[in-house]
Amino acid sequence: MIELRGVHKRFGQQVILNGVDFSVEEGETVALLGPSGTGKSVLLKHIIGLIHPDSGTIIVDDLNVASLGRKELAALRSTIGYVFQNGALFDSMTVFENIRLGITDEKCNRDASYCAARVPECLALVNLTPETAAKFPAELSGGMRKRVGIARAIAGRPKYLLYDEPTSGLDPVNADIIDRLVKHLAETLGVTSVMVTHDVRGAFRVSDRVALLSDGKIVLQGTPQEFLASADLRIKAFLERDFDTHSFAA
Amino acid sequence: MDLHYKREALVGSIVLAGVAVFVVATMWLGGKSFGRKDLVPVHFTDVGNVKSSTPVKVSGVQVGKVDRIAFEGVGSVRVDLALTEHVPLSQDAKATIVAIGVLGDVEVVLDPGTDSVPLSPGQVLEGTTAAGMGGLVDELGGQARAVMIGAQALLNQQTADDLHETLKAMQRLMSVYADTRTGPTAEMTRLMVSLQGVSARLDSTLASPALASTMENMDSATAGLTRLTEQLTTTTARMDTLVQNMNAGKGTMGQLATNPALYDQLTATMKSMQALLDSVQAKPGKLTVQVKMF
Amino acid sequence: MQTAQTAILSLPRAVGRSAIGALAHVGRFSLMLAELFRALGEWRIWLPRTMDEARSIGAGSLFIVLLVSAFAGAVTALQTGYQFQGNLPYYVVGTLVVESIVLELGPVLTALVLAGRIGARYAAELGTMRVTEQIDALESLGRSPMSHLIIPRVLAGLVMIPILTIFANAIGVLAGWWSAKQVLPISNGDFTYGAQYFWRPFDAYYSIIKAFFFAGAITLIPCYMGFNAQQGAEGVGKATTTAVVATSVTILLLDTLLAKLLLHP
Repeated sequence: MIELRGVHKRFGQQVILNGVDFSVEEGETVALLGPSGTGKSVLLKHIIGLIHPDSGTIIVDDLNVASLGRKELAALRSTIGYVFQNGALFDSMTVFENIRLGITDEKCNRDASYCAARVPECLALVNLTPETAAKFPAELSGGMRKRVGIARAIAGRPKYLLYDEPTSGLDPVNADIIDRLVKHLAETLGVTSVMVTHDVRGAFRVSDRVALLSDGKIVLQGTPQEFLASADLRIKAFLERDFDTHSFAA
Repeated sequence: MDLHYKREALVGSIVLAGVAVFVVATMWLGGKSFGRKDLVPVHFTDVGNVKSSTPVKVSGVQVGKVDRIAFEGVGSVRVDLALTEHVPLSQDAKATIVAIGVLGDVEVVLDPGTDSVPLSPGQVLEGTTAAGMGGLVDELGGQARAVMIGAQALLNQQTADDLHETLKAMQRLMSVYADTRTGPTAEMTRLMVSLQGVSARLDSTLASPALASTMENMDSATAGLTRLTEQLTTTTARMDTLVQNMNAGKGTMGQLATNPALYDQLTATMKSMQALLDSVQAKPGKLTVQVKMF
Repeated sequence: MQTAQTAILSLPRAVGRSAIGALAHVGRFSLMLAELFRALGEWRIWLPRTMDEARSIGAGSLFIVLLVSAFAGAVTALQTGYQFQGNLPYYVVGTLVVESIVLELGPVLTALVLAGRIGARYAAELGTMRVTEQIDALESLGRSPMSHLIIPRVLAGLVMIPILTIFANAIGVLAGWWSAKQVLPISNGDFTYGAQYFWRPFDAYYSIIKAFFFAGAITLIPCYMGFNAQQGAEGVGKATTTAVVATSVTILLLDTLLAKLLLHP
């Protein structure tokens, strides 16, 4: 269970998060919507402790993330898989080594035969062939890179998966593949997922609940149906930009 | 996995090669060498510029190097000579520190001796220092000081001018030496500084109008040593500040004026200075100095 | 009134702001050092990566370092010979070549060349990793960027740069020797005599001590700059430029400081 209470964050003069309350129950998939540049990624990074809040608390698995020591934070992070926007693959390493770094359990990580088996397994989960393992990130397409990023995030058998704009910059076909992958992983691995996106269509298709972040606050958190039914002008304005939404969600 | 070994082997070989170069180069620069050598301990009162790796010569041939210098107390230094050539040494063998060149380089000249009794192993030889260039120039500093003191009693402006010229020439010679920017020769630099200091002070003394008037007074009044003393006393205030360093607080002025031996002493000094300058000109050592004023 | 006040206050504000900025840099740099020492325990992680970096620094920079140092040695010999021709015994060339290469030119030129080569690479690599979120990714996997990224680079530099300096010194002296013989009637014996006469064993240690400190500057400053790069390609470019400039200036400052501290204590 992930819970944010009254989280404030400023970068210099710019207020990014202005009292965010947000929660994710065990096993559900929540999409965090919002226009670009509203601090969705910043919020996601708070959950994993990459950014500390100015005020407010972040509770993950009953642990207060901001007050954790080095070791406890590392332990918590190994239970969370984080999928970065552009994959953030280590470009000096092969795909195999990238995914191996995702095996956060030190004992397993040092066990060469375990890694040799686990890496193709993770590649298969994201619909990539084992041959991909020998390639370098620069040799992969954008969609493949994102999938390797997901493979790296799930390699350590995490309890939570955080996706930062998994479909941005992809063509519709590839975006659909990723959306289906997110849903598939949530179902087969039973992980709790948070997906940050500005793609309303994908969010509605994948998630159990949807939240909209606007002006540093969560405007609404609810099911896609509640979302569509909302009379809030900010929600309406956001949804209207995606003309496809209604037909798709209906 | 073999790739890993390859990479580590490359790093290892670079590091080892670096360490090897370091060791070999420092040994070469330190003048150390492997191989058999005889250690001959010598006792000196002052080793001057001798350092480890200073060459040791017998009959002009290098037979070894200074290996170690140990300070045993004031006026007592033990120097170990490492001889790579086998030289039979007698009981009356002697070691002398000889200056070569003017940059403060020295070498140790070993005289194996003529006694029929060979030197017992571990026996410490007594070493001496020969006065070389450095010693001569050092001496000159002392003489210039005497000249300076003597100048105060000069009765003749001409002599003073001559002396002034000579000293200026000396100073020019010294500045030619100084110009060569020899760098690390500490002793030479020290000498230069002291000599130039002396010359400068002497210059200002001779140029002082107070002194000039004193000279005239002295010339005209050939008689009164008493009066001369008075005249000198009037300038003392001025002179004192100039010659304070030299006189080191002794009230020598009056004493000097009454000392009849001074003139002789000065003449002797001038002569020895001339001799020194001649010798500098005649055998400038390894230096090729164009001394135009001679 | 208002504008006058603003104008008067703008100078102390600017001074204050840059002072706080400088303090923040010192603070962040110290924190990075503390993190770095804390992560030293994870040797399993940094050791193999250090080997990688060491190979790339050592083998990759050897040629350029030797080239620069050889030319420096040759020029020193030629100019010394020209300057002192007819005034000083020729063996002085040996002294001057050895002393200037070992005490100054070898370590400093090597360091400046490597500040451009290694420093710029480190800053650009880490800066790119920062802006493409690779450093965040590493942290998100519960791994320390210090033991994975910084320690290998710093340690490799601390080991390899002094080694490179030793090679640079040796090649510089040999090149000086060779070129002195081309233009002056100097024998090997003369050169050796001059080289050995004013040599102190401390000179060699001094050279290595300098190289060691320079290595610290060449690795730590660019790592810090890259690690804290701002977003975007511009951020990486700025970090790289700042790193090379700051490293070069630090090298020269350290050069002076070490000469004062070690040669004239």
